Amino acid sequence: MLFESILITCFSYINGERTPSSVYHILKGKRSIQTLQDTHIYKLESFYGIYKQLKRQDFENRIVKLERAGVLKRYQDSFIVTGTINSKLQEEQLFNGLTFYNKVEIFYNRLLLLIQTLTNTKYQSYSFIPVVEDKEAEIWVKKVYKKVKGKEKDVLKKLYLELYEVLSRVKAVEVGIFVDRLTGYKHYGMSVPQLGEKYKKSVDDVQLILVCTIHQIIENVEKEEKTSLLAFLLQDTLEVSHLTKSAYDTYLLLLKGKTPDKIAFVRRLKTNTIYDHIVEIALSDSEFAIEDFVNQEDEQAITQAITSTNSYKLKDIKANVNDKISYFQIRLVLAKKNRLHK
Amino acid sequence: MTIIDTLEQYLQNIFHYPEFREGQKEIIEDVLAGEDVLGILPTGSGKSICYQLPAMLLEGLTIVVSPLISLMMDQVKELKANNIRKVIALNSFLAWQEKKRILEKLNEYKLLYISPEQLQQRDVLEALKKIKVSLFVIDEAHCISQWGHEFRPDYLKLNRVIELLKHPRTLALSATATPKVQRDIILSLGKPDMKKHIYPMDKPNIALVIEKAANDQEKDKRLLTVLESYQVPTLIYFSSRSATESCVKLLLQHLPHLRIAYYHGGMDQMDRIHIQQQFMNNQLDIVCCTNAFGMGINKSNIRLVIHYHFPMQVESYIQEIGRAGRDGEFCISLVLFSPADVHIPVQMIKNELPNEKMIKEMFHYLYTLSLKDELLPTSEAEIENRLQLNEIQWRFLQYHLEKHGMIVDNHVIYNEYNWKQIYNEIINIVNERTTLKQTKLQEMVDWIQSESCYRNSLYQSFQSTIREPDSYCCSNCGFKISDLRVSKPMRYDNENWEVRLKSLLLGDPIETVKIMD
Repeated sequence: MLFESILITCFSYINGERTPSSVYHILKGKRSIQTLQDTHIYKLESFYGIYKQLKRQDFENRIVKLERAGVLKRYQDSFIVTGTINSKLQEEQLFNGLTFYNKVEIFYNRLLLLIQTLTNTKYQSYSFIPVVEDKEAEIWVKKVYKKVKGKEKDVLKKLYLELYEVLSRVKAVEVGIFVDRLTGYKHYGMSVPQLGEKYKKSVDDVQLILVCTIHQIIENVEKEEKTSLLAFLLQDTLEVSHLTKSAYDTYLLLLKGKTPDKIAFVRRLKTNTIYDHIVEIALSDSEFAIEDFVNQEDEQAITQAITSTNSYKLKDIKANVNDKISYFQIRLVLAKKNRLHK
Repeated sequence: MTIIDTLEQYLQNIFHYPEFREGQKEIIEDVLAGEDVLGILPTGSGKSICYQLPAMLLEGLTIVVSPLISLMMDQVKELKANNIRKVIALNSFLAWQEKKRILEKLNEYKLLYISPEQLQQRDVLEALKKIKVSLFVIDEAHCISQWGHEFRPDYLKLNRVIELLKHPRTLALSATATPKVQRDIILSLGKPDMKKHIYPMDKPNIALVIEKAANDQEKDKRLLTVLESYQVPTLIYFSSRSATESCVKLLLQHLPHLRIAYYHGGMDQMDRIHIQQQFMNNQLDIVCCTNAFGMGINKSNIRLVIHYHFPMQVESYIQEIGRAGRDGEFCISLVLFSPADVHIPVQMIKNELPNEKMIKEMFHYLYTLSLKDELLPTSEAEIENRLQLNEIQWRFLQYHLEKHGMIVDNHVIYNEYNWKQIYNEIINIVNERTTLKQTKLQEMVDWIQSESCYRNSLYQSFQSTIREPDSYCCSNCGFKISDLRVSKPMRYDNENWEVRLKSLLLGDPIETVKIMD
């Protein structure tokens, strides 16, 4: 229900002016100028990147179903909404996609792993299979664990009270889904299909409800005082927090869908400086799409040159690719390969 | 301070096992004495300890070649959970940079899991040559044999790697290898003096049951009856992902008091961990799965393994039922068979290797590349996509094309006369492999339809003497599942989220129903 409703909202906003692909990219949160521009133009900021697990095939199947049901109608390269639209679901208003874009995953992984770790070590259980496979989160939890060792009970109590408080304020969605997903001592949380079964919801809706719950938690926590434990979990969640101030300003403009030339103009900087920023951003933001600046063919040529020269030296690589490929493009491909995260 | 002087103490201190299982100690002693060893140990007997323990005791690095990435990851995770840290897995999923980092400090590790493909990469071999490799382990060693049920061409290149590494002691392990496959392993590795430790496959604690059904509807009915009256930790195997999902739907509808989930390779990593661990923790009663499940699963109290679809060869069947009753207690294998089932594996065999059309297209593609003087794409996904090959098909072709020098480091080398010959040769190999698979399948079907003792006919090609069953033998010897009944009490799971959150974070551990243990 929720997923369909969001799709319908998206298509009604873009009103046949963009292809279904652009809706797909918005929901997946693709970091490209085109997608970000679409997001802003069609006021879909709240849905940006809320369904990163979405698979192309599933997306397309769902649209075919909506078309068959007479809700969507083909219009040129896209669809327009024809069926009777119920008013937007309340859940839809509670997403905060663009703002919380890459905080969600980091915050959630830390929380899951922290609860699993502390509930286990409380019982002197030191061997368990972590539910989250995320190096960053692992390192983070290890650091926290060292500080709170022996005081697990107190920390868990604080965490419980804060979660209880914040979850009580969550609107519109079934909070049980979020709680049942948590893993503790000798108790593993439920998988997404299991949650779907238990709450009689589609897998898509379960994923979206989880994200919606997390968005609401983050929103509440950020409004509250900054000393809470949950606020601590939110610290340094932005991958781009390592960026220099100037690159960060460029980053914010990129998120608005501005091109490098436009940014250079607005910021009264040289375009080459903006390019430097973009390389820096590509290195930090694991989801940054470099395809706005290097097409796939060139990217492959550069990758091949890196492999065959077995070197990171820009000069060596440049000598082994087509003349029309710039140093900026080579640096971008290298940045993508050497991402700080993942 | 206590001085550790026996292997048992190391086993206790490092792995927290109280004692060795059959065969482990003998193999470990030979490995530590510097011998090359071939170990055939049935599934569930703890093969991995045979190299994990020596790896911790020997100076230098132990390399473990394993064909299954998920298995590698599971083992690394498990070792790390046990506080054994100097372990790493090298496979194609690693980012380029990450791999480079690992290779630069290889000497800091004790145990390296690696896929056979990675072991062909030049940078990997260079890095390995620079350090001391004390033990070279080939897991699932039957993959080396053309007669094995899971032949992997890359395994044939392992002897060259061993040579390159100046012959570290070698340990080949498998759970299912007929005497013929055993000979093949020794021959391919070029180590005629390998010490053999062969242990019997047969499980005296399992009863083998085959039931025939006219069609799937009848199977479903039977499945429901069995699960209703015999409520024990259960695995149900299917040949397809979608079948696992639809069966869970059906079971939940009719058996709402049981905890049931599906597991297959198409699920995301986090969901897979959840299901595996819930099952291990007795939070789940029944898992409907494909053969992606079970590798590295250490659950000791599985009591019933059902094959809704039978596997493509006897060896896989033996491995899959090997997951039942690891604690030595009584357990049952139930195969539900309907005549139409035979079509599924026939189709799967056809899809496993590239067909003539695909091979022709591959050659044509390479020819165009050579005309345009272009390189083969480095991305395997791209090649697979372009030629509509699956991963196994591409691996197969890649192996043969490289072996015949048609592809050298992504360059295509054209020679009209040679290419024609190679083409014919590959077609021949495909036909041969397909025939072999069909023979294996026939063996399985014949076994299902046999009228003599299932236990004897199952194990006789693997070993000369077969032990008496602990209690029941098989359905051809008069055993019926309906002779048994086990049920467990209803569960209550109706508290609200507030209560569940509290008990998870603050409360005593949520007790799982112990009746099933």
